Parts: sequence; structure tokens; C-alpha cells
Amino acid sequence: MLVVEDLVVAYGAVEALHGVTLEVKAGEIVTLVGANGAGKTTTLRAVSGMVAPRAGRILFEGTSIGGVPSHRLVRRGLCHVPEGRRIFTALTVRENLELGAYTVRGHAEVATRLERVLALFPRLSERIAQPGGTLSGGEQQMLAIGRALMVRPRLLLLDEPSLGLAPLLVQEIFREIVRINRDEGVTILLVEQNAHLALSTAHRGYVLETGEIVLADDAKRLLEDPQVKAAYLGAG
Amino acid sequence: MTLRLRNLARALPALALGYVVARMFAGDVGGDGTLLDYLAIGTAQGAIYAFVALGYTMVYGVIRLINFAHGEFFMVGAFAGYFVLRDAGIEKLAWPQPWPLVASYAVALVAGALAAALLALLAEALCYRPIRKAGRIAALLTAVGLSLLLQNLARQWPPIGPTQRPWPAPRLWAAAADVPSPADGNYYEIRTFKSPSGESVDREKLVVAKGQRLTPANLQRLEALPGPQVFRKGELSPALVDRSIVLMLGLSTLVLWFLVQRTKTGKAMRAVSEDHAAARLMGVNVNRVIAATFFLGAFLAGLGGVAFCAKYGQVDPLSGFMPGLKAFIAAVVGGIGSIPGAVVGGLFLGVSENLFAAYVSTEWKDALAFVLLVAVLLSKPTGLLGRPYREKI
Amino acid sequence: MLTLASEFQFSFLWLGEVAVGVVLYATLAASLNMVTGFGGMFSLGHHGFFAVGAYAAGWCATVMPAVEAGTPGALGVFLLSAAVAVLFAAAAGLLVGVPCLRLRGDYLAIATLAFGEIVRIVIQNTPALGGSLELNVPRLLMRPRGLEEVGDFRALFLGVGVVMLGLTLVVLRNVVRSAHGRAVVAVREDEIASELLGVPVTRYTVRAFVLGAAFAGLAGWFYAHYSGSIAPANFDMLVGIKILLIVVLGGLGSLTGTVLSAVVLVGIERLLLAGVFGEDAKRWMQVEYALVLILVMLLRPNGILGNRELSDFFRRRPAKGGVR
Ligand SMILES: Nc1ncnc2c1ncn2[C@@H]1O[C@H](COP(=O)(O)OP(=O)(O)OP(=O)(O)O)[C@@H](O)[C@H]1O
Ligand SMILES: [Mg+2]
Repeated sequence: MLVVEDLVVAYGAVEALHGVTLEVKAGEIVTLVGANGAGKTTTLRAVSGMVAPRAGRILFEGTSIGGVPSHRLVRRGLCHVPEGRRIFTALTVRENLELGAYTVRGHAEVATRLERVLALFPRLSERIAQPGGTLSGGEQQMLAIGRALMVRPRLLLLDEPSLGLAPLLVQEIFREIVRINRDEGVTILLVEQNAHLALSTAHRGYVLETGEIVLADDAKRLLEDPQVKAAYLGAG
Repeated sequence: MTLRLRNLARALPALALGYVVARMFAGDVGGDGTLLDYLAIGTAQGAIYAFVALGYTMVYGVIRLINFAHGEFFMVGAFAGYFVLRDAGIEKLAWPQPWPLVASYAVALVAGALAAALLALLAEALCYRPIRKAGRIAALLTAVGLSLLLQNLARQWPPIGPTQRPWPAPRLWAAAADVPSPADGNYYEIRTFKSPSGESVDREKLVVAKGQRLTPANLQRLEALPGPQVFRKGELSPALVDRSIVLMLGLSTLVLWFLVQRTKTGKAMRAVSEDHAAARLMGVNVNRVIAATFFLGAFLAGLGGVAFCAKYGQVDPLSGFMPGLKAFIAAVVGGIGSIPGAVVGGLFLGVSENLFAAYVSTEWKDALAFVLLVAVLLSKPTGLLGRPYREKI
Repeated sequence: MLTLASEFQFSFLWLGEVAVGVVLYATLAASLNMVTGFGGMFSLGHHGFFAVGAYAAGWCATVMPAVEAGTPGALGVFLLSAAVAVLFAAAAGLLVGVPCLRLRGDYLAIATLAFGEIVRIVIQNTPALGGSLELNVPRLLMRPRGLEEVGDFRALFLGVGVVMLGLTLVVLRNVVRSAHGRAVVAVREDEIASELLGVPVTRYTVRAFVLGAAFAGLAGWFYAHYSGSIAPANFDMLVGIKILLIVVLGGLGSLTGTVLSAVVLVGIERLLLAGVFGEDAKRWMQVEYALVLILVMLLRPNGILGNRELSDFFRRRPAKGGVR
């Protein structure tokens, strides 16, 4: 579904990715783990068109999407939940969600999607008329994911959905992620600091180190990998 | 208790405004210098500030740019209205008076608004979009440059030129045979002359003065011409213009409010105003939303420009400068980025300026706006109706 | 493409006038660079301090007992008026700075813009300063009658101006390199962080602002004496914009860049004004100037040199600051 080949991205003179190659197949959850500053966010940003790649190819469902602006990709079914949630604080929860369906024509369709998302996150329906900025951190994360689901993406890019959440909420969010993948058939590329959680959720994983992929394998096998254990799972 | 006081502080000006507007529409506001008169004058002037301030505030809200060229959109709109009014001859429509008069004013308004809005689209695409990533100072200076450019282009371009022009009186055309005898006003015809350089120039020529009779020879000559042959100069009364301004402001505010709060585009605007990248990730075409914002803002500025120049009876390339500056102040005083703030700020500034000029001093009137600006910035930087102070860099 | 018009006669006199203009604007821009470039405070009202300095100097020269031009007494008045100009401008800087510097970004820019306009309106309504007409500043350095001496007059003022600019640059450079300057730059980079690290943010920003105002006042003193008559129209917003444009084109924080860009921009303006590019170009000058402004912003929004100094290009050391 998504193929990234030799992707090079630079911010000004600083090269952040030196040739990243990875693949996400339809129906999978694939995770990208790595230390701070490894380039995980940058990879997602390049895929969703937020930064222009300097070299390399990005194929989405067989066609090249390098240089296609983000808002067009949304119409093609690729949706990115950025790092740090970035919900619209002045818009109400409902408006935030409706904005997720921005590309959708027809009230009825928007209403059914809204219903589905609210069924998925019942907490949001309790806060439906509240401005997004007044939600708690976890609720905001739910809103961010719910907003992305309003797009009905075929490929969902999630950047650190657990950021700043209590462990219980993290569990809850990750259960949702698995359910979205299983029940709604959404393919997911997941970036996560918590490597253990990410690898136990995903089918496959990539390890990114200073702008390069150093390991790629089944998530289960990566969990067992001594290198990964030492570097990311906090075990000797 | 404090809550009650605050409600009162809001309700009182609103009630006063309602009363003044009601008296304006009842038509019993004369020019004899009572408090009510000054309030009415201030309200009408403030309504124009508000028109222009709305554009400032919308553009600022969406891309955090103080669009200094906004006053020039206003000026260009005024000139578009001027040319239409002068040359289109809408009055030739065979409608009973005063409808041709009203129709020509309406057409001038629409033409002005559209011209300003199209210019804004062009300016956004050619200047503001490329500069958006280069930082705030660069964008602001670009806006200043655009303002200077438009002002000076207008001064140099021969059809406009640097001189002040009287706002064209709408022409009320009639067939020569229909001129009452004796005539009920001055009647003119258009004669075409050859200028020394060989171009043909149209001039107004008096045919029959008020109270005189049309000579049979003239009547015969004129009747040989096609269409309506002579015209009278009509005038939209200032009171009518004032009422139209207040009415338009009310309508525009309602429409804008509906647009921003209730439509998809409005939601996208508010989203873009908060976070361009996040909006883009939701499929919003941010460039298009920004262009739409410029279009709307300049549309209102164009309306304001035509109304302003019709009210004061003249137009020139600097017409947009002072109203632009004042409207900008109004936008900040009301809370830049806030639509109701722009309206409140505009009315507040217009009324306080006129009261100040009437009861305190005319020389210091222009200083008042700036002092008010500083006072508001220092006590409540986000303005009377602004959101809490939060600087995004 | 452009043909040199025959009417334009190059002369050293003309060049001298241009050079005086360059020196004046370079001083103004350097002083604004202290505020905007180093301090990161965005001011649209710098011409206000310029006006305060010019009127303080002019007023001082008119109220002093009449002195014969060229005498030591006149020189004394000349220098005294400089002190008065700097003092008044600095005081105005303090007056504006203390309340307004709590504001940031656009809000500060708007407040300073309002200040610049208020200064102009106050002058317009103060008869002692000539109101909206001119205030004539007596000639102090040379007798005013001999028009044949006009070349000497310009040369003299060019000398004074170069000293003024040199002084401004040296003082500003030293301030920037001192601990105070580094604190100002730290404030520019990150206000909250520097506050946490114990940098007294407000005090430093106010100081930078007052210093910038003082040097703008000095430039006002120079202008008042050079032109011999000043009017509110000489200090409108356009002047503030020109100063800011020079700073931005020269690069925020770069003093040599500021001088370079003053040469370029004042040069272009004067060449157009003199009709070097023909009468048509002269007639359309305002339009061309505005176009230059827009093109400069579109093509070099970070200035000719960025925020580097000219010397950085010869010394091959990494530029200070960074991408902002
Ligand atoms: N806008 C930017 N400008 C300049 N450099 C950037 C920018 N964004 C990221 N970088 C640099 O690119 C590199 C990769 O950053 P990236 O955000 O992709 O890391 P990350 O793997 O997501 O880290 P984290 O886990 O902390 O979120 C880092 O060295 C970072 O400093
Ligand atoms: Mg990241």
C-alpha cells in the first residue's frame, strides 16, 4: 500500500533522513521506533506531504505521491495524525470532528461517520459541544484520532498517540488502534516512543537510527532482538 | 454583581446604538448639532471603519498579517464604483425615479466590491503567498510595499491621476420631449468634441436651465438623437447613504457570522487560523481558504470605499489611506482577529472621534485614535472583544 | 534597456548630497537594528524618535541666544543641541519602552506605529515647533548666505555624518559584544528560557530600545542642522518604513549589512530622483520604489547578507546566529 524508497529529507542544510526504505502492506500495523531525533516524525511528514523530499520515491497504492500537497492526499485516503495532537482548540468537539470530514460531500454521510466515531469514543460524545481546548490531554488525543477516522482513511499515520497520557489511557488508545485496524480495515503506520507497546501492537516494525533504517522485521522477532532490547526496551 | 455590571456595560451601548440607528431610519436626525446628531454622524462613520476593519481582522485572523494594502483595496473599489457611475449610464433605464438613482448606487457598490476583491485575489497570489514562509517582518513590509505601489500607480495612471475628483452625480436621463416646461431643473446633454490631439472627448452641456423653456430648435435637434437625450443631475441624499451604510454593515455582519460559524468554509477558516498544517492534514486547501478570506475582506472594503466616497462626495488615490489606518486601529481596539470586535471597534472609534471633535477639540481628533489604540493595547492588548493574549510566533 | 538621460549631470555636489543621505539613513537603520535586529523587537515607529531628536535639536538651536555662525559659541550650541536631541529621544524611548515592551510581535509594532503618529500630530499642533509648517533651524557651522559655498557645506556635513555613523556603529558593536548585548540576543532567541536563566528580560529589552531611540535622536539632530528646516511631513510613516526596509535588506542583526543596504537603497532612490534613468523613470519613481521594496522582500527576505557581517565572508568562520 505504501512504499518508501531511499527517502532523503533535509531541513535547510541539515539532512534528517539519509535514505529511508520501508513498506506498509494493506491491512497491516507497522511501527517505526527509534530514539529522539532519529527522524520518525520526519518520515511521516514526508509521506503526508508536509515536507518535500530531497530525493527518493514515495508510492501510495502504486502511484508516486512525492510533492503532492497534504490536502490532496487526504482525498486519496491517506491521513496523518501529527505529533502533539494539534486539535483546533477554538472549535468545538463536533466541529473538530466535522472538519475531519471536510472532503466529504453530503450531510448524511458526515452524520453516519460522526456516529461511528462517537460510538468508538463515547467520551467525546459527552463533550460534543465543548471547545477542543478545554478537553484533557487524553480526550484531545481521542479527538485527534477520531478526527482522522472521520476521513475514513485507508492508511493512517499515527505519530506518538501515547504522548503525555496516563498508562491506563495509553492502553485504551492502543486497544482502539487495534480495533480500528481489525474492524475497519485501516492500515496503520505507527510511530511510538514506547517501543514495547508499539511492537506488541504492530505486525511488523522498523528501527530508525539517525536518519537510517537499521533493522526491519516481524514485530515479535524485534521484541526478542537483543539489540532492540538493549537500546529501546530498557532491558539488559 | 460584577457579572450584572458587565452585562449592563454591554447592554447600554447596544441600546444606545439601537436608539440612534432607529432615529436615523426615522429620518429625524437633523444637522443642528445636538448630541443625537453627533452620535448619528459617528455611527455612520464608524460603520465605514467597521466595514474596512472586518477585512483587516479576517486576514489577520487567518494568516497573522497586518495587510497594510487593505486601505488601497478600499480606494480601488471606490474608483471602480466611480468609473461605473460616471460611464455606464445605468440611469438610462426607463424606470421611474428614484429607481435608476438607487440602481446606479447599487451597481457602483457591487462593481467596487468586486474590483477590490479581484485585486485582493491577485495580490494574494502574486505577493502574499510567496512571502508567507519568509517571516512576519518580510510579509508586513511586502504589504506596505503593495500599499505604496497601488497608491502611486493610481496617482500616475492617467485615467485616475493625483487630483481629487468629485464623486459623479448620477444622471437622470429623459427624452427631450418629456422635459416639463418650464424645466424642473437644469438639463444637460452630452456633446462629443474633437480635442486638439484628435481624440473625441465627451462634455456635459447645459441645454435648458431650471425654470426656462426648451427652444423648439433644440427640441427638434435632440429628438433626432436615439434613446433618452437629456439628463438631470440626481443626488443621493447623505442621509440615505448613511442609512444604506448602517444597513449594509448590519447585513454583512450577519452574513459573515453565518459564514464563519455555520458553513464548512467558515469552519475551515477558523481551523486555518489556528493551525495551517493541521488544517491541511484534514484535507483543507489552505491556499484556497486564505484566498477566500482575502476575497471576502476586500469585498467589504470595496463596499466601504464606494459608500465612503459617495458620502463625502470625492475620491482620490489617497482616499484609502486615512480610513484604512483608522479601520486598522478600530480592528485592534475591538480585538484583532475577532469579527464582532471589528464592528464594535469601528463603531466605538467613529462615535468617540466625532464626540471628541464636537465637544473637545478638532485639531487633536486624529491623535485620539492613536491614543485610544495605545491605551487599549496597554490595558487589554487583545482588544475589547479579543481572546486572551497569546502571541504565536 | 535603460538609457542614461542627457539632462543628468554628474557632479561631486550631487554625490555629496547622496552620501549625506546614505550616512543619515545608515545611522537610523543601525539604531533600529539595535532594536529589531538584536533585540527582536519589531518597531514601526522609529521615525518618531528621529523626529523627537530633530525637533529637540532644532528647538534648542532656536531658543539659544543668537550666535554668529562659525564661531566657537556656535559650535557649542551645535554640540549642546546634539546632547539635547539624544536626551529627549532617549527619554521618549524610555517613556514608550517601559509600558510598551510588555507587548510582543505585532502588538508592539502597532504600539510603536501609534507612537510615531502621535509624535507627528503633537508637533503639528505645537506652535512653538512651527506647527504643521516648517521650523527653521539657524545655521551654526557656516554662514548661510554664500550659496557658492554649498559644496563646502555638504563636505562639512558629510564629515560630521561619517563621524556620527562611525560612533553609532562602534558603540552598537561594543554593546552587542558585551554581556549586555549577549543578553539581548538571548532574549531575542527565547524569552521565557532567558527569563528562567536569570536574564532580567525587561530591563535589557528596555535598554536596547532606549539605546536605539537615542541614536535615532542623534540622526535627527544631524538632519535638523543639515537641512536647515524641518517639517512634520519629513517624519511620516514612510520614513519609518524606509528605515525598516534598510534594516531588513541589510539583514537583521548585521551592522555592515545595514550600511551596505543603506548605500543600495538610498542610492537607487537618489538615482531615480535625479532622473539618471530618464524622465519617465523619474516620474514613475514612487511606483518603482514600491516595486523594489516588494521585489526585495520576495527575492531576499532575509537580507543581502542574512544576519552575517561582511567580515564573516572573508574570515570563513561559521556565521553566528542560525536559521530562524
Ligand atoms: N523544522 C525543523 N527544522 C530543522 N531541523 C528539524 C526540524 N524538524 C526536525 N528537525 C531535525 O531533524 C531530525 C529528526 O527529527 P524528527 O522530528 O523526525 O525526530 P523524531 O524521531 O520524531 O524524534 P522524537 O522522538 O523526539 O519525536 C532531528 O535532528 C531534528 O532536530
Ligand atoms: Mg517525533
